[in-house]
Amino acid sequence: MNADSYIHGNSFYHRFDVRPKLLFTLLYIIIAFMISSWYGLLLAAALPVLVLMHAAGAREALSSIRRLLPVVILLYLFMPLQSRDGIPLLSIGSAVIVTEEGFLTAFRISMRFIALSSVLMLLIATTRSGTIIAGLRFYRLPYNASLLLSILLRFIPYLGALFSQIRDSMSLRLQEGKRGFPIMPSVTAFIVAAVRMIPDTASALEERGFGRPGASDAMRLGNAPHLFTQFVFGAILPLIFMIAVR
Amino acid sequence: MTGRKTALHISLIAVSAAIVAVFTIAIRIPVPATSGYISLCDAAVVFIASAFGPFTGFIAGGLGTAAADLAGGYPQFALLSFIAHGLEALVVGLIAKYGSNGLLMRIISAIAAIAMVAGGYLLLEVLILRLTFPVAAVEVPMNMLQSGAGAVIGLALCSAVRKAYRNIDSLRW
Amino acid sequence: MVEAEITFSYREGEYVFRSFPLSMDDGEHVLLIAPPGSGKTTLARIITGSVPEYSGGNLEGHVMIDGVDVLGLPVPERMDHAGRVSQNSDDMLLFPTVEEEIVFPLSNLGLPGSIIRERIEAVLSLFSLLQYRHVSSSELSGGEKRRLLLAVLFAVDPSLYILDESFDELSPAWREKLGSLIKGSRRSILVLGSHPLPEYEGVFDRILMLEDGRAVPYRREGIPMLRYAERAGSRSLSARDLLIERRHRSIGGEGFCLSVPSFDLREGERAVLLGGNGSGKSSFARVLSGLLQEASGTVQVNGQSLQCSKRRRTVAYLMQNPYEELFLPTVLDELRSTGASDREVDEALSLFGLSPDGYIAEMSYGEAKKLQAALFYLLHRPFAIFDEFDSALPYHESQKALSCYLEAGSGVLVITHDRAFADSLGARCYSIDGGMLHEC
Repeated sequence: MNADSYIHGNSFYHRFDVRPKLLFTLLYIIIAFMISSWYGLLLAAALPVLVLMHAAGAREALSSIRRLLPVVILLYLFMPLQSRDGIPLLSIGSAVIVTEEGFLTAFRISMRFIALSSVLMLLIATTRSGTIIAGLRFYRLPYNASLLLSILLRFIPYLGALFSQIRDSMSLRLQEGKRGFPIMPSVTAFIVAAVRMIPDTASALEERGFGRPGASDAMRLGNAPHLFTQFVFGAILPLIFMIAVR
Repeated sequence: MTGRKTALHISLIAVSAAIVAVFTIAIRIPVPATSGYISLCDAAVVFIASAFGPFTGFIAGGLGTAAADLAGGYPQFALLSFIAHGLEALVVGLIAKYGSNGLLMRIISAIAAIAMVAGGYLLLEVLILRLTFPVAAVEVPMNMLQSGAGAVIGLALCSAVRKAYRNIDSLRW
Repeated sequence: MVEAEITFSYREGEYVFRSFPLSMDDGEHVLLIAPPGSGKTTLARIITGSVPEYSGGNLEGHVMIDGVDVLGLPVPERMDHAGRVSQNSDDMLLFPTVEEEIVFPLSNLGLPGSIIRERIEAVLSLFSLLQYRHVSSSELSGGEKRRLLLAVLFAVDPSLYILDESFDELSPAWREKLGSLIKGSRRSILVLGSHPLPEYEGVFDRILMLEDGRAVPYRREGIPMLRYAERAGSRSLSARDLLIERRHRSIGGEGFCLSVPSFDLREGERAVLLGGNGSGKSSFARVLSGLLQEASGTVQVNGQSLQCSKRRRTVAYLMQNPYEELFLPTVLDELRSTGASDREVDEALSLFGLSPDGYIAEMSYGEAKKLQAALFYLLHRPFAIFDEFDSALPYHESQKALSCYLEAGSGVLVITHDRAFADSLGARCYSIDGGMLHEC
């Protein structure tokens, strides 16, 4: 089990510094909710998908999109339940099934949903989670909160492996004629094993100097080449985009 | 002493959130009727909230499910999960903290968990993701089933774990 | 200069140490050998502070390092005086990547970024971890995790290094390297071990052992040969042309591969498997016991090939970490879960020297190992694999557990890297070299 969705690569979006990248992502999402023209929304949904294809490969991009499909399909399936008034697009007898307004609403919502989802996927596919935490530190995430997130990222894969070990060893003790593994005992044992690690982890934090006066913050991000330019682009591109397609 | 307390709190929340994430991702029970799965994340959330209190529950339940969404490739739901499961834990934790320990309280806890998760996702999908109401409502029965089953298992886990690990209450704050 | 006298008990009256004295000169390298369960880890934890702060207990006495009584300092401020590498590496790993693990203590020391970067480079290359810099520590093998913890300690560079069984998970080559690093160090180094290892030869200024709560000069004790009443069975477990593969996810295709042309074990027979860490000993055990699917080849009993699900009921696997196989609250709960009768459970309790109402969560590592042995004993599997069973028990206890199985007619495969222990079993011997398992 892995807590990181990072896909190794060297695309321009991989090299985009995390600080402006976070700003860009946030602005992009806000703008996706402000655009109302159909071609603007189509573009807003298509752009991050295309960049994702470039940065993470077509397979990864496709499987990301596939995860969005159920919601998108439902949106169109439920069109008849939305706005019934307006110009009819599809009707059976005298009953209007789909109106132009209904279709446009479904289209807008689905494009926004795709834009929002894919720009977030793009962020986590091209940035290591440790780097994202460092980026959040830049935006004033408190030190203890970032420490907490780091430890969480260490424990997810570790506890995932622990759980499969427990499940495995449970299966070694099965009596004749039984299959699988008993869920309650495995889950209880897993929680006990995990909870027992809490004091050890706290102790390790202190033994490594957590809470010492005068600690430096070497985890903070340093200066990056063209950081200012990247910030300008990260902020201005979404704005231009909005003005152009609004 | 404050350093030690902070270190313990950070470890407690991080490990609890990781437990929630692992339950969400790794422990799935097949549902033959729909040929789908329900995840046990609510069992972990309810357990953490009842064992460690509302605050730890809120942060750990929220962070754990959000982290699982990120890891599973559903980043658009991370914020929703954080709020819905965080509130679920907060309410269950408050009931456990101030309520009595009887059967009635457990039933109230379970109902609160179901309401928070099913209602929370419904509202948040409409308010934040701006999905249409019918689309958001499709998930409600499944969410009710999952959180209801989770709450029952989570409360059972609480006594099972307490039996196996007597020191568990010393971690609560 | 280290000068200490410690009295400690977890519970009133049950002393782990009673006025235990220890003194070391500056730059002295001392090896303390003591049987598992004698309090070595507790000693390390007392000095660095996790005991009694996080465990409870009554501590009296002092530990003077550089003229300061560290027991009077808050835990974080002890880090430039003393640091430890824990016996179980996972106890002390906190961060998602190798690099962050080292950055954290160094920035807590208040060092400037440039020095931190220099030290990271230095220790990563010292312990050959440079290629793992951004790799998640959960993807490292046991030996690599141990090297990472050593790297952290060497980067912090306190006055006293405490290495708790740190040679244990390392491969022979790395043990030798660690030996020479210790020899070349100017710091005081205390190594805690439960068995003498060949790699300790010539590394230490003094070798001590614990006796009646005191550290006295070490006397070598021979290991008696294993004795038991032989009882042969008719079945035999064998593997033919096995190929076992495991891959590291984030380091691309670089994984590991083990081939086993031929392996045989009869009921009632004992065999030993030797091999460096990361060579695939445990993976081989997982394949034999049906927990891991082989890439190709067969595992057979009496010439009939056996599916994974059948293997799980034929081959008991006593994993290296006993806690991974213990789930229920008490010893009695565990033993009864096997479906054994009360009489059988009582017999197992006395055979393996266990108390019925012990709480698993409060047991020592060695006790847990004994319970693990008792548990599989009651399941009557015809074959059993003991993975590093001897690492946490005195020799005679390990031998006793093995003889119980052998006298019950089980075939036993013992995985160990302790040559002396292996020799004492008088068993057929397999070893793994260069990705190949063969008889030696």
